[in-house]
Amino acid sequence: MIRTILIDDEPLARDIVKHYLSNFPEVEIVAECSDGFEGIKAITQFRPDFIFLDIQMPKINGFEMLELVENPPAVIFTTAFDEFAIKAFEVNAVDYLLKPIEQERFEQAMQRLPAKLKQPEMTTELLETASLSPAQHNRVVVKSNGVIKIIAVADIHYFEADDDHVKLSTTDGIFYKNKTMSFFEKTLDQEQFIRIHRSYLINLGQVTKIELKEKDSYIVLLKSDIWLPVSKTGYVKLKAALGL
Amino acid sequence: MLTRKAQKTAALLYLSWTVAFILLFFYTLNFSWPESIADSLITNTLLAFSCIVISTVLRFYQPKDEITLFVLILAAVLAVLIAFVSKFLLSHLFLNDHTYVNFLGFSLIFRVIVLFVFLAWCAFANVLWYRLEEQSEMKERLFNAQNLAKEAELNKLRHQLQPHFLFNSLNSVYALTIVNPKEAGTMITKLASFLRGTLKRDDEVWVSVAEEMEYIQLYLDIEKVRFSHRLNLDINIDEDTMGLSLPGTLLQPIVENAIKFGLYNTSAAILISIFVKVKDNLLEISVENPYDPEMKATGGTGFGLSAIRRRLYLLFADSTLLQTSATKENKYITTLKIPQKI
Repeated sequence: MIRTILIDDEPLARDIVKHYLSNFPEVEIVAECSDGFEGIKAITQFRPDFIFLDIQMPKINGFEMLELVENPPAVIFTTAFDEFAIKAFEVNAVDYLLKPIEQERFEQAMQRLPAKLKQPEMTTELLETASLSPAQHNRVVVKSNGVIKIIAVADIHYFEADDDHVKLSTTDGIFYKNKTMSFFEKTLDQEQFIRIHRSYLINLGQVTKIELKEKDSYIVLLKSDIWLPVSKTGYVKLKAALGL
Repeated sequence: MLTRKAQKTAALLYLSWTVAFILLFFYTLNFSWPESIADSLITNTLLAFSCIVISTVLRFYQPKDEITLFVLILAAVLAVLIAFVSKFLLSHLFLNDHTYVNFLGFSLIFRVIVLFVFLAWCAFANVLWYRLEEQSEMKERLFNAQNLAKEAELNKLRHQLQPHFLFNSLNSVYALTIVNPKEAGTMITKLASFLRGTLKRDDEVWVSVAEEMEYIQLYLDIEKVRFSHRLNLDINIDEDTMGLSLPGTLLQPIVENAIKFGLYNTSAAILISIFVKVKDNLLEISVENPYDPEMKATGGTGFGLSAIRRRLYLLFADSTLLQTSATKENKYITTLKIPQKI
């Protein structure tokens, strides 16, 4: 038996996938979810072999959901219209079905499935390409102690490199995200977030003071009363961003 | 100003022109080498400077009418100036050679004529050049403007069609053809009526409350099919509003917004209420939707109503006609007021 979960906020959209799946007796639907939170729960609980995943869903979108799942299963995306998502799929050769979903196309995807089940690791590049979508510029989704938190970028004070993680200092506390500094530098608004140092990416709105520490070496004070070092190239960027 | 290549060409032209005159003076008029070289060098250098002066003047100032007269006078003045300056310099340099000084005297008028013709030609070439440049610049600007207009129209069209809504609705219709064919038929006709209404809509065209609410009802019916039991509606239209009217492009985006933040952002069942009434001689429509206060913070653009506010300002010069408020029960209320045409 191959086990699957359907994640889509529209019941009729799930119905059509269910209908198509009735031709595949070897596939068992173990759960149906109508948003990303339910999706994460169901995936952790049932550990399906693959999932059908919609992109635009309540609360968190399909990509954000995948970011939060450890060892995500193979995915067949289903989406109506999202230029960025489709670009991400095309770039990374993942299987995706455009709504309305054609039966023939569906069966094609199912035929490709066995090969994908053997190597279910979702390429990180897919998520990186997808994250260029404007929808994901104004928030960051993190998981801490099993709770999912959606953070508005305005509430982020700064990012700090921390081994293979990135530490986020926010109004609501400290969070960690399994990404690189350059990922955030690339995807967030480059006029708002400035890489002042190899280890620090700061929210320009949080800066209250820049001081000369010693010759050619500056430090910056944030509203949260934290001093951070500024590298030489970081100082150039900071000056340009502040229009000095 | 000039490209490197143009500078090189100009320098080369100047040099060969000067050498040609040196040879001309030496071989045909039998001057000595120093005289030939000095005469050609001084006259042609002055000529070259004059050309630059003309070119610069014409770049920044070209009289709209009388351009021909302006150019001719400019060329004549410069020609006379060059002729006299070169004569003055050369006659002081070669005081002792009487034949040469004599020659300078009687060739003066001839020199003025040649210089004038040359400078006039240079000036007209410049005028032509700048005109052509201006024309191609204008063409480019026009081309860019057209492109921008096209892009804006395309964006407007794309927005009007709401591709996300459209494709998802089509997917629902498709599913219905299998699970509930009769309902599918109804849905297709509703979708068609809604799209027809969308295409007809324009800022300038006012529609009656009855017609507008029918259009909104179609939109909500389609969303109801997509989200079935999750979407509940409470629509209250006061009897005395039926004869009133409003621009047909304002209400749908507000309802769409209510759906976006009330329905798309949650997986629970929700209620959207619409009240249409008359208040202080204004048509007043309020739309209420629940919202997730945490989501609001991450939505960024304040529920994206700024475009509607801007349109209201353009239509009525009053941006207070759209008001929003949030209640403690996490209900978001959008109120639209429409002054009536008399």
